[in-house]
Amino acid sequence: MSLEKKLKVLIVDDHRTMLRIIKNLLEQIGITDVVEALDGQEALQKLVKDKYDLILSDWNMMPMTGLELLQYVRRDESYQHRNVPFVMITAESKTENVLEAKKAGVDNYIIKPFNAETLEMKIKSVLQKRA
Amino acid sequence: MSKNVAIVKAIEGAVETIRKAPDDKKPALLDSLLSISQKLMRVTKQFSDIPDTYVTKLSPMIEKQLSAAERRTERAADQFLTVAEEIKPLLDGVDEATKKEIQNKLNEMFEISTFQDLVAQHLNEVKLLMNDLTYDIEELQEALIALGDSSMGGGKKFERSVQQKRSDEHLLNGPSTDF
Repeated sequence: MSLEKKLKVLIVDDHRTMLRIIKNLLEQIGITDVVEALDGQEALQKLVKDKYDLILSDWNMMPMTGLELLQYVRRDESYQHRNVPFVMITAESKTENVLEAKKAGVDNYIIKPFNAETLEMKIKSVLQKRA
Repeated sequence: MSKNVAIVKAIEGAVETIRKAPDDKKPALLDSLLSISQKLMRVTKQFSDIPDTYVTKLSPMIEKQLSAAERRTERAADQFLTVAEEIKPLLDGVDEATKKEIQNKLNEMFEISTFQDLVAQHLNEVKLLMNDLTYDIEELQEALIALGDSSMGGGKKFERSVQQKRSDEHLLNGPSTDF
Protein backbone atom coordinates (compact mmCIF):
# COMPACT_ATOMS: atom_id res chain seq x y z
CA MET A 1 0.00 0.00 0.00
CA SER A 2 1.83 3.12 -1.16
CA LEU A 3 1.41 6.21 -3.29
CA GLU A 4 3.63 6.42 -6.34
CA LYS A 5 4.42 10.12 -6.22
CA LYS A 6 6.53 11.44 -3.36
CA LEU A 7 4.31 13.90 -1.60
CA LYS A 8 5.08 16.70 0.83
CA VAL A 9 2.14 16.90 3.19
CA LEU A 10 1.17 19.50 5.79
CA ILE A 11 -0.97 18.11 8.62
CA VAL A 12 -2.84 20.49 10.93
CA ASP A 13 -4.46 19.52 14.21
CA ASP A 14 -4.54 21.12 17.65
CA HIS A 15 -4.17 17.71 19.33
CA ARG A 16 -0.61 16.41 19.37
CA THR A 17 -1.86 12.84 19.70
CA MET A 18 -3.94 13.19 16.55
CA LEU A 19 -0.95 14.62 14.65
CA ARG A 20 1.06 11.60 15.74
CA ILE A 21 -1.67 9.22 14.59
CA ILE A 22 -2.03 10.89 11.18
CA LYS A 23 1.76 10.93 10.73
CA ASN A 24 1.96 7.22 11.51
CA LEU A 25 -0.90 6.37 9.18
CA LEU A 26 0.69 8.42 6.39
CA GLU A 27 3.94 6.58 6.94
CA GLN A 28 2.09 3.28 6.59
CA ILE A 29 0.95 4.32 3.11
CA GLY A 30 4.41 5.49 2.10
CA ILE A 31 4.17 9.22 2.80
CA THR A 32 7.11 10.21 4.96
CA ASP A 33 7.66 13.87 4.03
CA VAL A 34 5.24 15.25 6.60
CA VAL A 35 5.23 18.64 8.33
CA GLU A 36 3.05 19.24 11.39
CA ALA A 37 1.22 22.39 12.53
CA LEU A 38 -0.66 22.71 15.81
CA ASP A 39 -3.13 25.32 14.60
CA GLY A 40 -4.25 27.34 11.61
CA GLN A 41 -1.86 30.22 12.29
CA GLU A 42 1.14 27.91 12.46
CA ALA A 43 -0.04 26.23 9.28
CA LEU A 44 -0.20 29.57 7.45
CA GLN A 45 3.35 30.40 8.60
CA LYS A 46 4.59 27.06 7.26
CA LEU A 47 2.75 27.59 3.99
CA VAL A 48 4.57 30.88 3.46
CA LYS A 49 7.97 29.21 3.92
CA ASP A 50 7.46 26.03 1.89
CA LYS A 51 5.47 24.41 -0.89
CA TYR A 52 3.17 21.46 -0.20
CA ASP A 53 1.42 18.90 -2.37
CA LEU A 54 -1.43 18.33 0.08
CA ILE A 55 -2.95 19.77 3.25
CA LEU A 56 -4.72 17.54 5.76
CA SER A 57 -6.48 19.62 8.38
CA ASP A 58 -8.76 19.07 11.33
CA TRP A 59 -11.97 21.13 11.33
CA ASN A 60 -12.55 21.76 15.04
CA MET A 61 -9.58 23.85 16.06
CA MET A 62 -9.21 26.99 18.09
CA PRO A 63 -8.64 29.86 17.51
CA MET A 64 -8.67 29.31 13.74
CA THR A 65 -10.92 26.55 12.47
CA GLY A 66 -10.04 24.23 9.61
CA LEU A 67 -12.68 25.95 7.52
CA GLU A 68 -11.11 29.37 8.16
CA LEU A 69 -7.69 27.96 7.26
CA LEU A 70 -9.13 26.61 4.02
CA GLN A 71 -10.64 30.02 3.22
CA TYR A 72 -7.27 31.71 3.86
CA VAL A 73 -5.48 29.18 1.66
CA ARG A 74 -7.95 29.63 -1.19
CA ARG A 75 -7.50 33.41 -0.96
CA ASP A 76 -3.69 33.13 -0.99
CA GLU A 77 -2.54 36.24 -2.86
CA SER A 78 0.82 34.75 -3.78
CA TYR A 79 -1.06 31.90 -5.54
CA GLN A 80 1.49 29.49 -4.13
CA HIS A 81 -1.09 27.39 -2.30
CA ARG A 82 -4.31 28.67 -3.74
CA ASN A 83 -4.86 25.39 -5.58
CA VAL A 84 -3.20 22.95 -3.23
CA PRO A 85 -5.43 19.91 -2.53
CA PHE A 86 -7.09 20.34 0.84
CA VAL A 87 -8.62 17.44 2.78
CA MET A 88 -10.64 18.18 5.90
CA ILE A 89 -10.53 15.72 8.80
CA THR A 90 -13.71 15.78 10.83
CA ALA A 91 -15.80 14.00 13.41
CA GLU A 92 -19.32 13.00 12.31
CA SER A 93 -20.32 15.47 9.62
CA LYS A 94 -23.62 17.06 8.73
CA THR A 95 -24.69 17.71 5.17
CA GLU A 96 -24.81 21.48 5.61
CA ASN A 97 -21.24 21.50 6.95
CA VAL A 98 -19.97 19.45 4.04
CA LEU A 99 -21.70 21.86 1.66
CA GLU A 100 -20.12 24.81 3.44
CA ALA A 101 -16.68 23.23 3.14
CA LYS A 102 -17.32 22.42 -0.51
CA LYS A 103 -18.28 26.02 -1.13
CA ALA A 104 -15.00 27.10 0.46
CA GLY A 105 -13.09 24.82 -1.89
CA VAL A 106 -12.37 21.65 0.06
CA ASP A 107 -11.31 18.68 -2.09
CA ASN A 108 -12.49 15.91 0.17
CA TYR A 109 -13.06 15.04 3.79
CA ILE A 110 -12.26 12.14 6.11
CA ILE A 111 -14.47 11.20 9.02
CA LYS A 112 -12.84 10.11 12.30
CA PRO A 113 -11.98 7.45 13.23
CA PHE A 114 -10.24 6.41 10.03
CA ASN A 115 -7.59 3.93 8.97
CA ALA A 116 -4.63 3.96 6.59
CA GLU A 117 -6.72 2.42 3.82
CA THR A 118 -9.34 5.20 3.95
CA LEU A 119 -6.62 7.81 4.10
CA GLU A 120 -4.88 6.40 1.04
CA MET A 121 -8.15 6.08 -0.85
CA LYS A 122 -9.11 9.69 -0.15
CA ILE A 123 -5.66 11.05 -1.04
CA LYS A 124 -5.56 9.07 -4.28
CA SER A 125 -9.04 10.25 -5.19
CA VAL A 126 -8.12 13.89 -4.59
CA LEU A 127 -4.88 13.67 -6.55
CA GLN A 128 -6.56 11.87 -9.45
CA LYS A 129 -9.21 14.57 -9.71
CA ARG A 130 -6.51 17.25 -9.70
CA ALA A 131 -4.31 15.45 -12.29
CA MET B 1 -36.99 41.58 35.00
CA SER B 2 -40.61 41.58 33.77
CA LYS B 3 -41.46 38.89 36.35
CA ASN B 4 -40.03 41.12 39.10
CA VAL B 5 -42.12 44.01 37.89
CA ALA B 6 -45.17 41.73 37.93
CA ILE B 7 -44.48 40.79 41.57
CA VAL B 8 -44.02 44.44 42.57
CA LYS B 9 -47.27 45.33 40.76
CA ALA B 10 -49.05 42.45 42.56
CA ILE B 11 -47.86 43.80 45.91
CA GLU B 12 -48.91 47.32 44.94
CA GLY B 13 -52.31 45.89 43.92
CA ALA B 14 -52.62 44.15 47.28
CA VAL B 15 -51.75 47.39 49.10
CA GLU B 16 -54.41 49.22 47.08
CA THR B 17 -56.97 46.54 47.94
CA ILE B 18 -56.08 46.81 51.63
CA ARG B 19 -56.44 50.57 51.43
CA LYS B 20 -60.02 50.15 50.19
CA ALA B 21 -60.85 47.45 52.76
CA PRO B 22 -62.94 48.15 55.90
CA ASP B 23 -60.86 49.64 58.70
CA ASP B 24 -61.33 46.66 61.05
CA LYS B 25 -59.90 44.25 58.42
CA LYS B 26 -56.86 46.38 57.49
CA PRO B 27 -54.43 45.32 60.29
CA ALA B 28 -54.93 41.58 59.58
CA LEU B 29 -54.57 42.09 55.81
CA LEU B 30 -51.41 44.17 56.28
CA ASP B 31 -49.96 41.45 58.55
CA SER B 32 -50.69 38.83 55.86
CA LEU B 33 -49.07 40.94 53.17
CA LEU B 34 -46.00 41.51 55.35
CA SER B 35 -45.77 37.76 56.04
CA ILE B 36 -46.01 36.93 52.32
CA SER B 37 -43.34 39.52 51.52
CA GLN B 38 -40.99 38.12 54.16
CA LYS B 39 -41.48 34.56 52.89
CA LEU B 40 -40.83 35.77 49.36
CA MET B 41 -37.58 37.36 50.50
CA ARG B 42 -36.49 34.19 52.29
CA VAL B 43 -37.16 32.07 49.18
CA THR B 44 -35.34 34.62 47.04
CA LYS B 45 -32.35 34.45 49.37
CA GLN B 46 -32.35 30.64 49.31
CA PHE B 47 -32.49 30.60 45.50
CA SER B 48 -29.76 33.20 45.14
CA ASP B 49 -27.45 31.07 47.30
CA ILE B 50 -27.74 28.12 44.87
CA PRO B 51 -25.95 29.92 41.99
CA ASP B 52 -23.17 31.00 44.38
CA THR B 53 -22.53 27.39 45.39
CA TYR B 54 -22.66 26.26 41.77
CA VAL B 55 -20.45 29.00 40.35
CA THR B 56 -17.83 29.09 43.12
CA LYS B 57 -17.65 25.42 44.11
CA LEU B 58 -19.41 22.89 41.86
CA SER B 59 -18.59 24.31 38.43
CA PRO B 60 -14.79 24.60 39.02
CA MET B 61 -14.78 21.08 40.50
CA ILE B 62 -16.62 19.61 37.50
CA GLU B 63 -14.32 21.42 35.08
CA LYS B 64 -11.26 20.18 36.97
CA GLN B 65 -12.49 16.59 36.76
CA LEU B 66 -13.25 16.90 33.03
CA SER B 67 -9.79 18.35 32.35
CA ALA B 68 -8.21 15.52 34.36
CA ALA B 69 -10.17 12.95 32.34
CA GLU B 70 -8.97 14.60 29.12
CA ARG B 71 -5.33 14.61 30.29
CA ARG B 72 -5.49 10.97 31.36
CA THR B 73 -6.97 9.74 28.06
CA GLU B 74 -4.39 11.79 26.18
CA ARG B 75 -1.59 10.24 28.23
CA ALA B 76 -3.02 6.76 27.67
CA ALA B 77 -3.26 7.33 23.91
CA ASP B 78 0.31 8.69 23.83
CA GLN B 79 1.66 5.65 25.66
CA PHE B 80 -0.32 3.39 23.35
CA LEU B 81 1.16 5.15 20.31
CA THR B 82 4.69 4.95 21.72
CA VAL B 83 4.34 1.18 22.06
CA ALA B 84 3.01 0.91 18.50
CA GLU B 85 5.86 3.08 17.18
CA GLU B 86 8.42 0.96 19.03
CA ILE B 87 7.17 -2.14 17.23
CA LYS B 88 7.94 -0.69 13.76
CA PRO B 89 11.77 -0.96 13.85
CA LEU B 90 11.44 -4.52 15.12
CA LEU B 91 9.93 -5.47 11.75
CA ASP B 92 13.31 -5.18 9.96
CA GLY B 93 14.39 -8.62 8.90
CA VAL B 94 10.99 -10.18 9.48
CA ASP B 95 9.60 -12.14 6.51
CA GLU B 96 7.25 -10.13 4.22
CA ALA B 97 4.06 -12.03 5.03
CA THR B 98 4.51 -11.62 8.80
CA LYS B 99 5.63 -8.02 8.34
CA LYS B 100 2.45 -7.21 6.40
CA GLU B 101 0.32 -8.90 9.02
CA ILE B 102 1.96 -6.96 11.85
CA GLN B 103 1.71 -3.70 9.86
CA ASN B 104 -2.03 -4.29 9.43
CA LYS B 105 -2.33 -4.75 13.19
CA LEU B 106 -0.32 -1.57 13.74
CA ASN B 107 -2.72 0.26 11.43
CA GLU B 108 -5.59 -0.95 13.55
CA MET B 109 -3.80 0.31 16.66
CA PHE B 110 -3.28 3.75 15.12
CA GLU B 111 -6.94 3.84 14.11
CA ILE B 112 -8.06 2.87 17.62
CA SER B 113 -5.89 5.68 19.06
CA THR B 114 -8.22 8.26 17.51
CA PHE B 115 -10.60 7.52 20.39
CA GLN B 116 -8.67 10.10 22.39
CA ASP B 117 -9.50 12.88 19.97
CA LEU B 118 -13.19 11.93 19.96
CA VAL B 119 -13.28 11.69 23.77
CA ALA B 120 -11.64 15.13 23.98
CA GLN B 121 -14.34 16.55 21.70
CA HIS B 122 -17.11 15.07 23.86
CA LEU B 123 -15.48 16.45 27.02
CA ASN B 124 -15.12 19.84 25.41
CA GLU B 125 -18.80 19.74 24.47
CA VAL B 126 -19.68 19.03 28.13
CA LYS B 127 -17.54 22.03 29.17
CA LEU B 128 -19.41 24.26 26.72
CA LEU B 129 -22.76 23.00 27.98
CA MET B 130 -21.60 23.76 31.52
CA ASN B 131 -20.69 27.24 30.38
CA ASP B 132 -24.26 27.65 29.09
CA LEU B 133 -25.67 26.31 32.35
CA THR B 134 -23.51 28.74 34.35
CA TYR B 135 -24.74 31.56 32.13
CA ASP B 136 -28.39 30.59 32.79
CA ILE B 137 -27.80 30.20 36.53
CA GLU B 138 -26.11 33.58 36.74
CA GLU B 139 -28.98 35.12 34.82
CA LEU B 140 -31.35 33.64 37.42
CA GLN B 141 -29.15 34.99 40.20
CA GLU B 142 -29.12 38.43 38.61
CA ALA B 143 -32.92 38.37 38.37
CA LEU B 144 -33.27 37.30 42.00
CA ILE B 145 -30.94 40.02 43.20
CA ALA B 146 -32.86 42.56 41.12
CA LEU B 147 -36.06 41.27 42.74
CA GLY B 148 -34.53 41.92 46.16
CA ASP B 149 -33.57 45.42 45.01
CA SER B 150 -36.90 46.36 43.53
CA SER B 151 -39.35 44.85 45.98
CA MET B 152 -37.60 44.99 49.34
CA GLY B 153 -34.63 47.29 48.91
CA GLY B 154 -31.06 46.16 49.53
CA GLY B 155 -29.57 43.44 47.32
CA LYS B 156 -25.92 43.14 46.35
CA LYS B 157 -23.68 44.06 43.45
CA PHE B 158 -23.56 41.22 40.94
CA GLU B 159 -20.66 40.33 38.68
CA ARG B 160 -21.03 37.59 36.08
CA SER B 161 -18.33 34.99 35.55
CA VAL B 162 -19.79 34.03 32.17
CA GLN B 163 -20.48 36.86 29.76
CA GLN B 164 -22.06 34.96 26.88
CA LYS B 165 -23.39 31.63 25.76
CA ARG B 166 -21.49 29.35 23.36
CA SER B 167 -18.25 31.27 22.92
CA ASP B 168 -17.36 28.71 20.22
CA GLU B 169 -20.41 29.65 18.15
CA HIS B 170 -18.33 29.74 14.97
CA LEU B 171 -17.20 26.17 15.56
CA LEU B 172 -20.79 24.98 15.56
CA ASN B 173 -20.79 25.46 11.84
CA GLY B 174 -18.31 22.64 11.68
CA PRO B 175 -18.90 18.95 12.11
CA SER B 176 -19.85 17.91 15.58
CA THR B 177 -19.47 14.67 17.44
CA ASP B 178 -22.53 12.50 17.18
CA PHE B 179 -23.73 10.13 19.84
